[in-house]
Amino acid sequence: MVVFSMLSTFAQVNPTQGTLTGQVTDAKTNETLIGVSIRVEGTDKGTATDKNGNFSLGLNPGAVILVSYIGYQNQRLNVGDRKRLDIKLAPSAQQLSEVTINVGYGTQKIKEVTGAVGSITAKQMDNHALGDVNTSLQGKIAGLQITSNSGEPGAGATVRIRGASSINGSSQPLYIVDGVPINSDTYGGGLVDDASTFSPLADLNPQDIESIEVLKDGTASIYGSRASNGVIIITTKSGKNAKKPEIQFSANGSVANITRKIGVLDAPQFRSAFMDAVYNFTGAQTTKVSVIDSLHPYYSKSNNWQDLMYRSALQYKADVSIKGASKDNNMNYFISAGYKDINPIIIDTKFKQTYASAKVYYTVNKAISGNTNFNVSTNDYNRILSGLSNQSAIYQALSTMPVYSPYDPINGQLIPLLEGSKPNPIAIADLAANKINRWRMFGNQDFRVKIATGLEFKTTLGFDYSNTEETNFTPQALLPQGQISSSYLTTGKNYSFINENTLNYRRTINKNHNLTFLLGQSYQKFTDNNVNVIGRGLIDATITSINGTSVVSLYNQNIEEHSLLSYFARANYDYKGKYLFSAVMRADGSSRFGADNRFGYFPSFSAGWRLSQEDWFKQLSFISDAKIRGSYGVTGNQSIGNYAWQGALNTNGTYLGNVAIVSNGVPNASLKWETTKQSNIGLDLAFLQDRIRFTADAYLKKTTGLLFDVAVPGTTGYATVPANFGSLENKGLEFTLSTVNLDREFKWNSTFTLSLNRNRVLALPGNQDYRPNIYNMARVGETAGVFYGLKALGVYAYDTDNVYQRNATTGAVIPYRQGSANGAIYKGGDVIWEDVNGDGIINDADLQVIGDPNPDFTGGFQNEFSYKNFSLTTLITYSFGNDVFNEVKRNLDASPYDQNLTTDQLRRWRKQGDVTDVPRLVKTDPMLNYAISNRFVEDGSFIRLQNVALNYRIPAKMLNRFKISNATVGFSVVNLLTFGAYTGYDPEVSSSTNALAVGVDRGSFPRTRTYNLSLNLSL
Amino acid sequence: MKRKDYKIYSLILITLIFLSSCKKALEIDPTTSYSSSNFWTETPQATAALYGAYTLLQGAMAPEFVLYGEGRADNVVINPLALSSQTLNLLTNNLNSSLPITSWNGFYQVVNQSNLILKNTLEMKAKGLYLGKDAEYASVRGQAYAMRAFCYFYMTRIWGKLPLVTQPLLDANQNVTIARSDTTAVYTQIQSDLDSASVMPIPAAYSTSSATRAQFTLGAVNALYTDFYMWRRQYRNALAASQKILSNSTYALASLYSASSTVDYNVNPALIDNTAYAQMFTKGFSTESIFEVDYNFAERATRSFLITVYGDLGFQPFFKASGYLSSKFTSTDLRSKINFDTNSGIVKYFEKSGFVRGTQDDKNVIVYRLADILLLRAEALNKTGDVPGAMTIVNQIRTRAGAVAYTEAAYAGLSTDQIEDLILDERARELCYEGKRWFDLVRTGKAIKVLQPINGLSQTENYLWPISLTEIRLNPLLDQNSYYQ
Repeated sequence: MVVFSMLSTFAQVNPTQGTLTGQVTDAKTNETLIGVSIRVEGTDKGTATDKNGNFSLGLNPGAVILVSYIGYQNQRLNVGDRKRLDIKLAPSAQQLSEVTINVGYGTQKIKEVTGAVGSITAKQMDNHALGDVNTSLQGKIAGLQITSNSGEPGAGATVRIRGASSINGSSQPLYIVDGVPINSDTYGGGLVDDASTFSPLADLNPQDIESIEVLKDGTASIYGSRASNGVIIITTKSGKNAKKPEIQFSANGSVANITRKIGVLDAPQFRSAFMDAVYNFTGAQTTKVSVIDSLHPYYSKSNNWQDLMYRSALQYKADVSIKGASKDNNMNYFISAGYKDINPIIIDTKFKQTYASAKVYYTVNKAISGNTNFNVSTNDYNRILSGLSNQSAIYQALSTMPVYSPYDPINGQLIPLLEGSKPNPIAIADLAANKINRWRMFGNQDFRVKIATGLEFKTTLGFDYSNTEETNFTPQALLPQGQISSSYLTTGKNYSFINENTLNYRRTINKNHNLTFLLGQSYQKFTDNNVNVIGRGLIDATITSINGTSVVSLYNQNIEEHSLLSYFARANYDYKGKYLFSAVMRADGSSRFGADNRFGYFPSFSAGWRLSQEDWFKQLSFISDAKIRGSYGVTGNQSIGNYAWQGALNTNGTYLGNVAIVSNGVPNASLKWETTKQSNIGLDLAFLQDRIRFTADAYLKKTTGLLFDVAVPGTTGYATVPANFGSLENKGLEFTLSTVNLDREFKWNSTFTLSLNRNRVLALPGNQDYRPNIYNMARVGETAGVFYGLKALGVYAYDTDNVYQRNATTGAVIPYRQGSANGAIYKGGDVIWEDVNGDGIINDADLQVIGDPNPDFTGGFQNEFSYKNFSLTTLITYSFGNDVFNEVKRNLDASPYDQNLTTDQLRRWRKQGDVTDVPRLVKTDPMLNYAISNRFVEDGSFIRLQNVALNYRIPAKMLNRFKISNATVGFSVVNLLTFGAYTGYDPEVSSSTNALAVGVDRGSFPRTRTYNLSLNLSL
Repeated sequence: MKRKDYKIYSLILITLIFLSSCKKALEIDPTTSYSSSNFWTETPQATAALYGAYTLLQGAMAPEFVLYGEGRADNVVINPLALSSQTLNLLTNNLNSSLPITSWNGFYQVVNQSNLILKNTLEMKAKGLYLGKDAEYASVRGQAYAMRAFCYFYMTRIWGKLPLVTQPLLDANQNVTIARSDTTAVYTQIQSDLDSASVMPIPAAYSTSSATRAQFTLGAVNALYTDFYMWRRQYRNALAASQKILSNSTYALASLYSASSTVDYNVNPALIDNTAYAQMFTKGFSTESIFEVDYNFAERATRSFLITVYGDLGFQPFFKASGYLSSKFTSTDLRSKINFDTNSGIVKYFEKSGFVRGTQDDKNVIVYRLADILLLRAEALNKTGDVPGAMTIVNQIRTRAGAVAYTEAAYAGLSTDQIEDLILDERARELCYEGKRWFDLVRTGKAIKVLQPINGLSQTENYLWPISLTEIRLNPLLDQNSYYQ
């Protein structure tokens, strides 16, 4: 004990006076409390408890001490002549409303907040280390729906705050890290577009995050033109109040597996199906040796290629951080480093990532203080291609015929091209090279000057820099039909620089009128500098980079810049903390629009009434807090090409050696902001000393002038033009219920979130249906992005079942025809389509809405149990009512190429009279039984046991001799169980972040289940 | 520094910041691309835009010209080793509007680029930018007119009625849905564009011989006139237009058969690579070529993708040679050695020895060559009653290839229609795989007669191709061709 008192640098003892020593513990758990402030009333003397909860304070006999600690009830104690005083502090849930959260350009206590703001702290984030920011937010904040696009490391996610209010590609929320808006646009896997997306948020180490706030309503207008999809504010950890240096170390080891496999045919089933398909098409038996000769040494296998392609992968992560602060908090620091080595579950892939961060706060003098903050990360990823192409290892693992032997049965060598033309999935993983190397750094430097009482000036310089190099190499060995080996290189440097200046003024008049005022200005400039090179004709797979190519088929450099100049102001006023008002105005100017439409104005107004502060309310003692909130605000979106309004002409190679330039963008001088108007009402209630807390919000938001690259007829010579078109509406309800169910030695806390969002397209140009792809559609009155196609009613059992009209007298039958009045007649085994217009012809006029990718409700249910040193955390996430379009299945079963099929084909129609839901298998599908239809629309609802974590805190007495203050070992399972009807890899899938093109499973990297062991140490 | 000082400094700083007008900060122009505001300001830009149009034409033509011109006809059959559903749909005459080949977007990109050139060069001229550069002005505009005429002519033979777009899209707010004009209006537009090109006048030749073959020239315009008039069955006009080509010394038939040659191609089939005729396809820019689209692997690895449709069957091209065609050749006809390998692989465009698939898949697409125009002329002569004139041309083509010429006795007494069949057969032998056969059959009205036994084609409405579903969805003013409704 003596040793520790001496180590306790900041607990200063004045030996000339009486000395009071003691220990502060939690009144309920008897755990010692670190960093509790103990001050002598009426003086500026004080101290804080050390890491064992001990304190020592010199004072005069008879002094009164004030004991305070965040989250606990303050105590005022008369010391008398005692020399030792052990203090028990009772937790004060009440004070949660005193917790400050970031609301953009400043903080507010939760009790003062008038907007709809969701918030989680580090504690609530998953304590397994392999996720990223997005996955650790899943299910925890009502109204925030996060759909990971794939199970790939660093995968992009579709992040929606209160539904989709924009429909262009990057309608993600704005992300602010420590005050700096950072680049959060997902990026692809290189010039070979395999529809994979990666999130720049994965560059941020979740272990460095202190808290995350989500601005959901119109009060986000403080961020103006980028806030219509909400704002996510991330605050990283600092060394504030750390007192003595604290070293934290954590290590995590995991085993990852694929969660499930898709049912495909084995060799005998496949041979039979393939022979049927060819016979049904040509009327002759196939002569394909690999199919008919099951004894052929090369074609005698019955492989499920998924077994060969997926593996149990080992994954590691280690983090270390140090924080400390001077006693008076005039200086503090937090530094951290992390390393992550994740082997993805596909063979021959690797993912490594390193992080480092430093945050230092310092006070120059009484008026000037500053903050310096840097984050660096690198990642290095050797990947395979996903998607539905013939170089996609994911798709080839499903589609490769089961009969092939991957290795030559004679010499044991890997066969790159099976049967001379089909890339061997193992060879794809082995020989092709697809790499992402990324380097990112962002940070900021700010200075605050206290100009007068309550008046503070702050200036911030921030930057965000990333360098991404992506390469794709396809060797000759994997290419059939004389295609030529290729090497693709793209390097992108993206940087932004920001300067923000704010004035804050805070004043209380007559103790009752609290005023804060913010005035600010901001300028941010973004530069993207991309170099793309494609070379072809590499002689071998030794040198795979661009310099190994015989001819460069494309090289271009594309530099784009845009800037944003903003002015903003906010005024908050409250009367006695009862009546709260806030008004915001922001003006944003963007270089992305023509001079006439450059500036946009984004006001908001919000108010709150804390009923629980009224005298009459205090009789209702079981209600500990009550607040009604309301807000209305205008936010914007400027996600459109940097020069879209100007049109563009680009070089397009050369012709006969002459520079060729083509027009590939149409100007639109009237292009302007997209505008979202949102109203919100909310209610915050707390019962039984905050043991039950309940928050409800209802909102209505309407977006007009949607910014979009609108698809136009090919007769224009263009695919799309930039425009503001249409409007859509989102309305919904959000509920969060947090309860302390048991609060004794055995503790049980729960948080339940539920969000319902209803989305509707209100207007489109000319109110014509708009189709961004072949699956989805926007139609006035429908939900954005509904699936559109034919509706199957079954399969004709007999040829004679195809009756459109029968002449009552002659009995002559007019059958249904495909495509046109001259089209083929459906026969037994063909799909019975619903003939919507009743003309006897199944064609485009019979397409209808066949599914909705938007969920009816989503949310999460988090539970924490603890008993003595054990704690158990579980997180369940759920989504109900959304459909998924299973394009993987459609591709497998419809493909004209020689490939494997799904086990659905075991039910296929084979002969007259068969009653089934799977049509006759015919090579090339001439009757279009595999057209886009409800046959591939599946219920994507799921309940997922996302995380189960069991932790054991090693008792302090065992640790003391090692000078370890805290040690925890844990076991957790991520993605343990998923309940749902979807037959693909995972119902949580989307190959696009475009709100109009969501919910289509196009063969993305499957999600994994990981078993993790972790160790956390604090010194 | 005293506390008071920095207060003052910071107040000054704040004032400066908030008062600073950063309007310029929001004016950012592209640096690595042109925008509508800084293009069309110098004449080399317009010329670069013209070459841009040619690169778009490269994209529109290859290998699509094979699918349009051969895919539905009788010179090719499916290569069973490469089941491509689109190719199968074409060969079995089972077209639908979902096939990628039904998209006309590639051609309309060329049209829009031509429209941009025509509109902007006119304005540039008005600003005096073409002062003293009349020839350059005429060359750029003439080629743009010819290119637009070519695209509309190519498209109308496939889809019939077309949306006639003659103004470029200059602003996103312009109307983009345009209804189809009937073929009369389309023909009028083609005629007018060809007239404009020849009046400019478009150059008869360029400074390099490759440009003379691979850019539109007056000769190419006359070839287009000939083809167009034949399609319109205006035989007198076709004769007049083709005569201009005949009297142009730029164009001469490439040699193939030589009576004095001692080479036995049965023994050394690869030696045929050395003939000018073979090199017309393998190397391009032949003296016979009137207009071809150049592809050059050395220039940004530009390819024409002919190996995906033709070639050694082992590499699974879509097509192989049909028996209908190969049986039309006599044993002395050297063209069969040019066209086929021993497995019915189609090797017309490829070196018979030493062809490198990776880097030599850049064979030019020959759009018009002298033999084509000659045989069209023969058809016109036949239609206008000059059978001997027609047969002279046919025999000229035959003897060049080592085939025996028709004697007068052989065709005496044949009807005009029978002579036309004879000429069509010669066209099949001479121009097979060059994307001509389907259009020949449709133009002469013989498609049903020839193809019904092969793929069941039975209605003239079925001559036209369906309009792409995507396009119909995007443009409510479009109506589908009647057969596909």
